[in-house]
Amino acid sequence: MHKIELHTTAEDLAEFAFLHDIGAEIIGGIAIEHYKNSAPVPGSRGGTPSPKSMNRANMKIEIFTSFLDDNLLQRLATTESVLDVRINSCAPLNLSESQAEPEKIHSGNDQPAAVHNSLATTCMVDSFTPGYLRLRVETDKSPYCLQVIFHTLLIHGIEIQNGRKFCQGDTDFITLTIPQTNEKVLRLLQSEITAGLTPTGHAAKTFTSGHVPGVIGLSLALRGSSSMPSITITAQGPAAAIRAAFHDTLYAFNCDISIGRITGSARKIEDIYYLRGLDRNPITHKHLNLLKQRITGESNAEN
Amino acid sequence: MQKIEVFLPPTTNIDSLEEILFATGVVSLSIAEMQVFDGKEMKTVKYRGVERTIRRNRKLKMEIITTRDTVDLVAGALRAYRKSVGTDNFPAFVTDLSDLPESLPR
Repeated sequence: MHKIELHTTAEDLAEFAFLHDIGAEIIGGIAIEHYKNSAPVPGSRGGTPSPKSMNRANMKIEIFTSFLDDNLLQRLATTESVLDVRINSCAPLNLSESQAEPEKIHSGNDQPAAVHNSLATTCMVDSFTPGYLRLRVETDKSPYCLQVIFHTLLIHGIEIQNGRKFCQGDTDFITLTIPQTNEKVLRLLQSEITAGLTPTGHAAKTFTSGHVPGVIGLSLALRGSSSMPSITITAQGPAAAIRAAFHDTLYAFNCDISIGRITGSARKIEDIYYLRGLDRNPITHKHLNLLKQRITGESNAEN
Repeated sequence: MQKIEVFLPPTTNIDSLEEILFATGVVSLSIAEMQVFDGKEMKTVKYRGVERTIRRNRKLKMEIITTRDTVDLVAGALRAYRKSVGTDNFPAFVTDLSDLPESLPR
């Protein structure tokens, strides 16, 4: 399959109506008039300069086609408004349902996430809105980062108002909104999180294993694809303790966790987490029962 | 590194899709609105008695830069999203960026 990129002075895709007949998968046009006005600073070394003629381009057209015949290229080359043609190869990505998801998706993930001897971690606290602070943690990808953070917050009795965690490349980014806390506690919190996120720090840390008293109306729902399902947890009770117990158990499931949403208050939680299994076992309702059992202490949990 | 280009309907909820995709570990995402000729989606409409064929649609093109290991996972996430919104197949293409440097200094 080929991708052909054209830069053209034409302003409307309709001027390239002849492209209808070439049997392309998809043909897209994007207006680039806005960008051509931002002329490069003289002497700047920001990449290869584009040909001068391309500064006149009003539109970029992208054609994805499996046929690349000479007639088409000749036609494009002789079209007056075409300034530049580039061709590279690509492959179609099948998003239809026929593919066996779990097997394929885990094929590259036979090994758990690599744990290095020293993880590069930064933990910063800055002011967010009056009465609230933003705790930002950036660390090399590790399966236990949320477990460490939620436990440290529980120890210091800090409730989370809101939060996000996502993974970009090999780095985990965690942002949590917490209430204003005194500086001494914050410094302690930062140092404990940074120390706890090292493999030795994590091994030395003691995580509680008992259930959480006072939990009312705990509900866990599993949604989405088997390769990356989401778990929605809603409950009333001590939010920090519920989250810490929840993440203790999730860590045992050997999965990479992203925070979809954290909402609630000190006595109520309504969170969504996305889970990506690091081994071949998908997350199922059995795992939900284990989570429920761990949090409430009830052995006949249903879901 | 791999570049996945996927053409999404203009009604796509970018926030929720972005959340799912970042959870898979993509390196970067960019989105642009495009006019698209998609032969499969051509339709004829009648307006004030005049019939005309709509050949162009508005689409959102998402460019996802990701590592080779996570391409399947991103495809799985897009598949799950497509299933959840109940639309037809999204045209999607993968390009190998191995000619380019693996990563840029941050």
